[in-house]
Parts: sequence; C-alpha cells; structure tokens
Amino acid sequence: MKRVVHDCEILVIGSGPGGATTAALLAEAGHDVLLVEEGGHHLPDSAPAFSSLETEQKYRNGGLTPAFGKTKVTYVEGRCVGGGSEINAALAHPPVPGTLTDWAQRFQIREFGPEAMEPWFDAVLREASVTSQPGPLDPASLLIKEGAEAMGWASAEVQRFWSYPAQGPRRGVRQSMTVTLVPRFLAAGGHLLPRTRVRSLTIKGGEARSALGTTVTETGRQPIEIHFQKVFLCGGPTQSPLILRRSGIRGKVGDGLRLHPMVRVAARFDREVNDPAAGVPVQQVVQFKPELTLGCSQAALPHLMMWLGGEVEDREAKLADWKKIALFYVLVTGRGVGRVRNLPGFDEAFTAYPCDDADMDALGDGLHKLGRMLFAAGAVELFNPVAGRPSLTRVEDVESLRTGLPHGKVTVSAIHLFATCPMGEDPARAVVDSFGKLHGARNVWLNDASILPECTGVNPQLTLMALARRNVARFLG
Amino acid sequence: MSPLLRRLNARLRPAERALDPVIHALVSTLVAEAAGAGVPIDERALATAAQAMRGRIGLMPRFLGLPMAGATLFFDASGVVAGGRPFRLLPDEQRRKVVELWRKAPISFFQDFLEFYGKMGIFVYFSEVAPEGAEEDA
Repeated sequence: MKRVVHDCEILVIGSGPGGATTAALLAEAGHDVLLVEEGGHHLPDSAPAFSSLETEQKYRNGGLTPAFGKTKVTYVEGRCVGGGSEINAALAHPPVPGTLTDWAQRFQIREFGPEAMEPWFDAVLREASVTSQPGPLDPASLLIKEGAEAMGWASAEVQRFWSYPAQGPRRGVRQSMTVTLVPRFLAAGGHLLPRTRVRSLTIKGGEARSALGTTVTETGRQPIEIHFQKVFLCGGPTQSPLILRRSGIRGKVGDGLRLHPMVRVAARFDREVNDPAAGVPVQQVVQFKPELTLGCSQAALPHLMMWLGGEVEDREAKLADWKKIALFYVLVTGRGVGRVRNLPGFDEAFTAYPCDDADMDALGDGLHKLGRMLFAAGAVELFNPVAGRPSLTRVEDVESLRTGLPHGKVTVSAIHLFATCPMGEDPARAVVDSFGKLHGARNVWLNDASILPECTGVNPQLTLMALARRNVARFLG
Repeated sequence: MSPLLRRLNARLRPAERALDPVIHALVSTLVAEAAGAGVPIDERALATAAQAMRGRIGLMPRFLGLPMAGATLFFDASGVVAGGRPFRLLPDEQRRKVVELWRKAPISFFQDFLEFYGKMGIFVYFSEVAPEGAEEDA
C-alpha cells in the first residue's frame, strides 16, 4: 500500500496532558506542529463517562491491560485524543510538599524545586478551570469526611479540572484536553492526525529524522512516514519507551516503571449513600499522603457489580437496595520497580511490575484503616476484597486485612504509571535531562509521565501539565 | 507485528467466532451468580455482553488475546471432564460446578481467566440493564 508522507517542523507524538500542552504552546509560539494520536478524536459527550462504551472508545486495549508479577496489577490508559485527561477523575492535585525538592536532589534535576516550579503550576491554574464542586458534598464524600473526623484524620476535597457554567449542565463539564488545549492548538494553526500510530523513529548519529508508523483512513490502514526537524514523545509511560526501544535506543529505557497499586472495596450502610448523579466523589483522606490515600470511587450499579467481592450473603436483597452501597479505594505509593518491553514479534507493550509483599502489606494496612473509618462512619458491612472470604460486619473483623493480603486473591489495579524514562542530569541513571531532552540525542524530547522519576503519590495530571509547560519554555528559550 | 504472526492472526480471526457460544454460556453463569439466585437474566443484555467480551479479546494485545481465546476453548472442553459435555451444553447447575472447579484450581491463570470474564462481562451486562446507573458527568 502506498506510503503517506508528511512534513513538519516539530512532531508531537501523543495528545494527553503532556502532549496537548506541548503541542499547543509550540503552535502558539509560531511553530509548524503536527500532533499525532494513536486513538480517535471523541468529544467528552460521545460516551457516558466510565461506561462500557467509553472503555471501548477511549481506553487502550478496551480497558484491561495487566502488568505481570507475583500479583497481577491491571492498569488503564487512555488511547484517544486527550489521552488520560478524557477518562480520569480530573483531580487537580498539587505535589505533596517535599516531593519536588527530594526528586531534585536525589535525581539531579536542575531548576525543579518548589520555587522553580511555582510559576508553571500558577500558569496551569490560571488558564485551566480548576474548581470545587458547587453545593454540598456528594453522600459518599460525606462518609469519608465524617469517618475521617471520627478517626481524627485529616481529609479534604480535591479540586478538579472542571467547569460549572451557571446555565450549563448541572454536573458541569470536564476540562479535558479535547475541550481546552487541543482546540487552542488547532486555533493556533496546528495539525492534528488522530488514529495514527508511530511505531519507531529513524535515528542516525544522534539525530532523529523521521517517524514510521500507520494511519487509519477511510480506505484502511496505510503506512505513514513523517519527516521533522524536532520531535517530542508524549505517548505516556508505556508507549514512549516502546517507541524509543524500537528505534534502537535502549539502555535504561522502560526500566523504572512505578505505579500506584489500588484496591477497591464496597461498603453497605443502613441508609442511601450512593447517588450516581452526583458525579465522581472528591473527598480523600489526606492524613497519610503520599504513601496512602483513602477515597471513594464512581459507584453506579455496573461498577458496584464489578467490585462486590468475597462471599456475599443475601446478595439479591442487598443488590435490590444498591444505593445503600458505595465504593471506596485504598491507593498506595508502590514500592516495586517494573519494566516495559517489546515482545519479539508483537507490537504491544509487555509490562511487568513486582507487586510483592511490601505492596500487599501496604494495601492491607490501608484496607485496615479504611475499614475502621467506614465502620466509624456507620457502615454495617464491608464486602471482603479477598476472593472467597465472608463479608466483614464488625470493626474487629478488619484486623484480618491488616496482616497483609494474599497474592492472587485480591484484584489490584492501577491508574497512574510513571518513570519509565526518568529525568536527571546523570545519563547513567536518567534517560532524559532535567528538561526532557533525550540524553545522547540532538533533537528528541520526552514530555509525559514517563519522565517523572518516581510515583507522585497523588493524581499526576497537574504536575505533568506544569512540567510540560516548563520544558517547552526551556525549549523555546 | 511480524508478517508471520499477522498471517496467523488473519487465519485465527474467523476461528474466534467459535468462541461465541462458550462466552455466552460463561458470561450467563457469572452474571447469574453475581445477580443472585432467582433474579431473571435479561437475554438481550446478555447477548450484548457476550458479544462485547469477544470484542474485548480482539482489543487485547495479541500475546494475551491468543492465549485467552485458547483458554476459552479449553474451558469449554473441561466441561466434558467435569460434566460429560462441553461447558456450553451443560445445564446451569453443572456449569456452576465447572466454574467453581476453575476458581479453586491452584493455577493462577484459571483465576485470571474467570476474573476477566467475571469483571468485564458483569460490567457490560449491568451497563446494558441499568444504563441510567452508568451515566455520569454528562
């Protein structure tokens, strides 16, 4: 089939928060920018959020990708224009105090402390609509707030990338990349090529010259070749390292995978606590951040059914009253270090993450805390997250979770991945320099969550967007 | 993907349709278990969920999709050992026993297999029967 050829000055691969920020700022600075995205271009209302249709439309691999290890961790990634910003909870969480300073010192990252980064966080917050939910807290968030107060722990509402127009939809509009930075990029004259997958770069003598891949057109899948002067890889923590490795850049590329392991648990109360119309719950226990976060999840009936674990007595009667059940989570900063690789003969990422005893113990400790808090907030039953075990109906029962969770009996998931191409000045430890430029290459930059050196402990979108702005500013001089 | 694997893939795609009745039977058993005894199953939603599950296998990385398709056929055949007929042809009670055997087997892949069909099949089924419950952030 005939190869489609494109020419541009700057190629940006991937349109998530890092890629969309990069592309918009470069286009607005007058550069000729081509933004390619492997997934399709779907607007936020093209599918109900967190629905089955949305997982087919906007998630990589239809929503389920396992990272292999002693306990398998199933993670999700966006694969659409806007990337993760189209499918996440849009929480705008600043970094936990101390994180940036710690990273700057340990990973030799220049101009990266809180003072150096403050203007870039300010710029993101100035331009984006980051706001609290109007009106009273949703019922599940209220349970977190009341439970935390009863335990003497700090909790807080996390603001979101969201907009609540006075005359608009009651629940407001997610401020994802498809309604913010992608339109800005297009208005500035940028070119967007969705359904286009870059497989590798042609790199000679430290200089990347072209990208090879495929694009889906009305007539089918066509080979594509893109010539450029400079390239930004923003495909995320699994795809950016894969492209580099396929291009012959290996070393530590793909080695340092970090993530936030997470376990969900459903709890039943003696009153209605679940209002799907209220949107994503926003209250979190912040007492133990960044090592541990306790929060509540979207809990429409399909989600509840997915996560009702353990042996449940009188299942019918309880499900008939499902609005008395809400969904909560424990999210920890993973201790393990995984990797992303190409399997010979296959195009997709093979991901391994050692979710070992330390992670399972941390999750067990988190579940123990969460269980005590939920009983303090009035829970009458915790559906056991350990397969085959009975529900927990007394606060004393949660002690069984504290001693650690059995491998293979608990569903562990992850929504934030990091650090497969970490930044830093030492090429022996870091893949890119302090500003995202690939060590050993003249015209290749990375600007996504792969360059963060470790877990953030919180939703990384705000940090990523600030980092992307900073790196583009350095690029522009 | 290598040309050899691409050709193999193309040949296997039609064969994957053989999975349909097995997936339908398995998702039906898991949905009935999740909903609780006595709750009527919505056949239209079940058909949609079963179809969606085959689609999900197609969306998986091929190094997972191919083993998953093979395991689905193996699961069907395991019904012969446990109940004298392929799983898809067994009555409900015996299907539940086969599922329970797999669930208790000391092979983690068997549990992963059931978790995939259980979690995603149930999610899609209940998205069909309670679409208003799935709506959020509109």
